[in-house]
Amino acid sequence: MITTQLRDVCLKLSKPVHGSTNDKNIVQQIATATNAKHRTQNEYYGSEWASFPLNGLIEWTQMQENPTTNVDPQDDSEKIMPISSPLNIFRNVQFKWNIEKANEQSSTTENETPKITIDVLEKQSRKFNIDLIPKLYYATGGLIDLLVQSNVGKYCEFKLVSRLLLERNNGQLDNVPSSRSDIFNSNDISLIDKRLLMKVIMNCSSMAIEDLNEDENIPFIDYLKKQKLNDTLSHLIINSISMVDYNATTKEGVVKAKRYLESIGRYGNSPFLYPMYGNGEMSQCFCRLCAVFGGTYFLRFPLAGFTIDSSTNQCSGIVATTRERFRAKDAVICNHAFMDSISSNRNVIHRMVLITNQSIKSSEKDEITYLRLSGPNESGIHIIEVGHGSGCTPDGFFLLYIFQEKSDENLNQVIERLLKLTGEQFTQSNILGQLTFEQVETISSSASSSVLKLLLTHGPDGSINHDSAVNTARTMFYQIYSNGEEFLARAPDPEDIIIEDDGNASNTSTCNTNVEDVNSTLNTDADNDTSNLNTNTDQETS
Amino acid sequence: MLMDDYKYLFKVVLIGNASVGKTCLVRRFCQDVFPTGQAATIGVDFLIKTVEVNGEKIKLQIWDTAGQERFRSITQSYYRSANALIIVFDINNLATFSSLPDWVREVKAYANNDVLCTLVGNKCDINQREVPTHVAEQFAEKNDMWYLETSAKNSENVGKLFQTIAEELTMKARESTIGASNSGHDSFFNGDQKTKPVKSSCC
Repeated sequence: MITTQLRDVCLKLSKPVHGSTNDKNIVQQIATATNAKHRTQNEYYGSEWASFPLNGLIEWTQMQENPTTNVDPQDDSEKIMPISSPLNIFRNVQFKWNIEKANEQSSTTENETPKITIDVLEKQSRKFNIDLIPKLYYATGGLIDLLVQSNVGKYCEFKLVSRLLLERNNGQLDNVPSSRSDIFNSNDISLIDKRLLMKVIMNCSSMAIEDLNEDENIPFIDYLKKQKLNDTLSHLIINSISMVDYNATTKEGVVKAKRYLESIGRYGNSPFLYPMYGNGEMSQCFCRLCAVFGGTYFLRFPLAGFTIDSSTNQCSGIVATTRERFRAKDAVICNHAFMDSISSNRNVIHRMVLITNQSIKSSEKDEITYLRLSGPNESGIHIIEVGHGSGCTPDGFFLLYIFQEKSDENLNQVIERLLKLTGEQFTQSNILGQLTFEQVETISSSASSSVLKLLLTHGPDGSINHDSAVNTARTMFYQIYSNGEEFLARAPDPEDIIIEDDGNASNTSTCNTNVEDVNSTLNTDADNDTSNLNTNTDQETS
Repeated sequence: MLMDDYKYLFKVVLIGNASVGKTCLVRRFCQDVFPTGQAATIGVDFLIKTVEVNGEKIKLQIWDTAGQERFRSITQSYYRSANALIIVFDINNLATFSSLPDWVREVKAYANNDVLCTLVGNKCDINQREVPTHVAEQFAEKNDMWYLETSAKNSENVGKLFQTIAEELTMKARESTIGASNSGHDSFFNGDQKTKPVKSSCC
């Protein structure tokens, strides 16, 4: 059944793509179009959503502007729309090491622990998976639901973000009490405050937004004060549970708190998951599904531009720098390819990646840590720390991602602020290398371009989650498929596919799945299957 | 499928140039068919076959490239958590042998260090050999692999290939703990939940 669907749509769409951002990938592979083609000039999947090994990251920092290749139109009916450089969205990319290249001969003294050098790290380059755009996943968020629903989840593994930290008044880092037991076990909150806090939390998770009535639009902080919460507890809710800025409305605060609270308990005592081997895996998972259903991928494919039919103003395909032309019915591209023509008045997200050899707060366990810093007059700063257990660093090393949705603070000042909080545990000398760059936010409300049949996705936003990418993908999918095709229909489990064939000469291999079967057994069967898989990989990574 | 009773489950991954017979090997082994058509199989991620090693059931989950090898665009995540890798070339096509170093480089870059690697010269039923056995053997030895010549068409050595891999992996698993069918690790896979979701996750 699924294949028949596939065949039906097969010729409807052949979509060349430049780059492969997450939402594009999602669209691509649900597109289920067997003719879907992804093209990218990069050597890697995911373009701005990629994760790199250490060497790959350093190469990325040295990226050069590609010389533009001018391809002439074939005839009068064709226009060529050139593509702009990725350097337009990543600016001021700077990488610096705080350690030496190699051990000097003389320093090989007896009992000293060997110094960490660049060479030592570069030798373990492939054990690093460094995200350009780190993201967390709400356990009940859109992307996790999509992974479960579509069965793409079988390609990826997640770990719980095991530690949520916050800045205490006393200038130290402490765990965010987010569950009932956390709150009641806390030593720093008085019994009365515990009750008040618990009441507000319970309220937030059970109330309907309409119940807020006239409180809806008052500042969240005022609402919390009305509930008799003191400053510390209000900060806890605003900063760490709702994760909004101080000027947020009550409606926004409550909606976000609900989200956080709903996510706790689905996979453990934390609302967030982090993908093993970094966020770059995510686009690859969707690409794999697309490939399994017949999509074709070209990496290292230098694109010169889009061909436009001048009479209809429709995108008709793409042209490579080699002057090869590919025709397409619809094309999807990340809008930064046309940055030149997009207004320059855009939010810039400052991002920083630190390679360290010490966690910001030591722990016996291997933790994935999230810390949010904010105050009354500043927008929140996201800090994510991953270590060896996430498959993103060699043993003994950590990656610290720091970014701010709306930048008003110099990130170097953020480091100083962080170092004050960590005290002796984590000092400047633990920072071995650091990457800073600015990323231009390319969010736009419209997915259409001025050219027909050319859809634009936007690049990553500055938020901590993937909501906007998932929503864009869904919208875009329905734009291409207006015939009621299901967005990311569940891919059948391999065991459910019956392959007919094949003995006869005229065969094409077909696979039929009994959709009713798949559906009726969705909950039970799928669960069993995946738990089998589960255990295997479990062991593997341990 | 209800509770399966098996001792170990291993992920086996095939790589190699396009049209060397990767899919045919998998289909021959798992379903005992030899697909004669040219069309790529759509919608099949991996096939599963249970074999017996010393009286115990071992499940092999065998992954195919989904055509991504054609433009050298295999996703790195394909290699993740593979227990065994089979690099396939066509003994009648020198070019498929010549690109082996590229494949070995990819394996080194993306696969686990302790992955079990096997080199397979396929299509040994066709008598137009361009790669002498000893040359392939040398290459395998140099790269720490085991070498075997197979024919997916007439089944030669196909069973032996996967059986040997299953045996080797079982031996390795006994020594360490890979692939065991129960574990208490705390990462999540496959959209599956260790703890039941509060809300229904599907549909």
